[in-house]
Amino acid sequence: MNLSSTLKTGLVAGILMTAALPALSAQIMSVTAREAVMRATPTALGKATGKLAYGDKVESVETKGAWNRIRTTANQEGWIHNASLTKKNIQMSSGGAVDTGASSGEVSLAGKGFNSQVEAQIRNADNAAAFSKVDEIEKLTVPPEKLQRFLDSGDIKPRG
Amino acid sequence: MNRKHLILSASAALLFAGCQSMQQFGEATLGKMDPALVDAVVPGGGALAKSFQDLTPEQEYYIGRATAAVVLGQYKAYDHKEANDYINTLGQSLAAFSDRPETFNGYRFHMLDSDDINAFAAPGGMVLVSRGMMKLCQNEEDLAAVLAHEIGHIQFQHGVKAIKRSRLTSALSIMTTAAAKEYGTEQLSALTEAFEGSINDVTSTLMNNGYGRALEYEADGAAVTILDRAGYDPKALVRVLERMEATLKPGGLDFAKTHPNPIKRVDNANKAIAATSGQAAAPSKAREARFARFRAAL
Repeated sequence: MNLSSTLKTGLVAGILMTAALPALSAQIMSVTAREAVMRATPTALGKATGKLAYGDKVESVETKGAWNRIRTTANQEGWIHNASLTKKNIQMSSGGAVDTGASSGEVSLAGKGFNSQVEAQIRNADNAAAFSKVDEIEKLTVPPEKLQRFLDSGDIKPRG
Repeated sequence: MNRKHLILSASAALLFAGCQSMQQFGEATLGKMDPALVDAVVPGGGALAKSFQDLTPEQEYYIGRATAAVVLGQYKAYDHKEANDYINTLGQSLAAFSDRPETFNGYRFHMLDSDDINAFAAPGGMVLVSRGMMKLCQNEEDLAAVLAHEIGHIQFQHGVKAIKRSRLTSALSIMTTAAAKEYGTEQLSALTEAFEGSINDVTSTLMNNGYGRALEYEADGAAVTILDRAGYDPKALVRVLERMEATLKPGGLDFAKTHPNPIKRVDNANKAIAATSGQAAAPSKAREARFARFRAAL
């Protein structure tokens, strides 16, 4: 069957236009870690170039394996692992109507369900010491650069 | 049932209220929900009963905190600063190579003051390992294998998988009603019951029943992958398992109670290892020295 030349031109123009347009339909995702590290490269211990917070909205610009090159609302770019992002809209506001957002229509309400208020309900004299210890252990953060140095100084060479 | 068991069950019973009629309460609360809100949260606004996958990372974190608190109520922490810094740094280095390098609040690794051979992976990332378990490790590679296995449990959310569906149905139904900044008394009470029940489900699995063979194999598989990617010898996992087989007392209260036969795990692990480079890291005096310092602190 022979497509009319008008139709063909239209098709080609359509394809070219779509290719030329910036990623208007780029995937908007929410960050799932309280402090997610943005990296210069799509590698486990790639140089940290910035941090993102839980619920931050980012645009996924490119994917490579399990990694996403993302662009933030401040127009910064960096790589984040898939597991630190979700298509669900993590809604940060604690009151008012729920905005279903641009993505999949599924909303996660931040701070809802099991939260610090609920935890406060189960804390008592008997478990106070244990929860204090949990708080103490949580403070034991390790800066990303220290992790690479640890492996280097132990002559461990990552393979993946 | 021995004394330790009795104390644990008794305190668990005191600490956590039993689950009465969660389903009924959930339905009662459901009636008050704004239908538009329901649709926004659950596509189609249909059955709210979901699985652990509907828990946000933040909720998983709170479940993890309470789980770790139960473990730390049962076992004292072992507070040697340098030794903990070593396993914490090693553990976090390994976690970076897992399929879930970041959780809500990240991974932490700390020791428990017990000669029992035990390791507990609280949902969300806190890993608590006993001195007894640490003493099974003869080098940093062995230690990496133990920690990588625990990371595997967190990566696959094996802990929250133990939470009974009825707990989550109730919690989720309350979540959708909340426009207020904090919960009212009724909602809070129901959420608290669901929370307590959830913690009970998780800690029973971690401390009494175990995850079961399939999930243990899954964590072993993750461990092999993590070790290989990070640059450690994946065969270290097999060495640790074989040493466990030689050391564990049958019917013991520790690892033996909650884990499948180490030898079966060896077969499964070897299959996973065959798919990797399987290479050992080059020998390193520095690595041996830092492990020796750690070992001396136990």
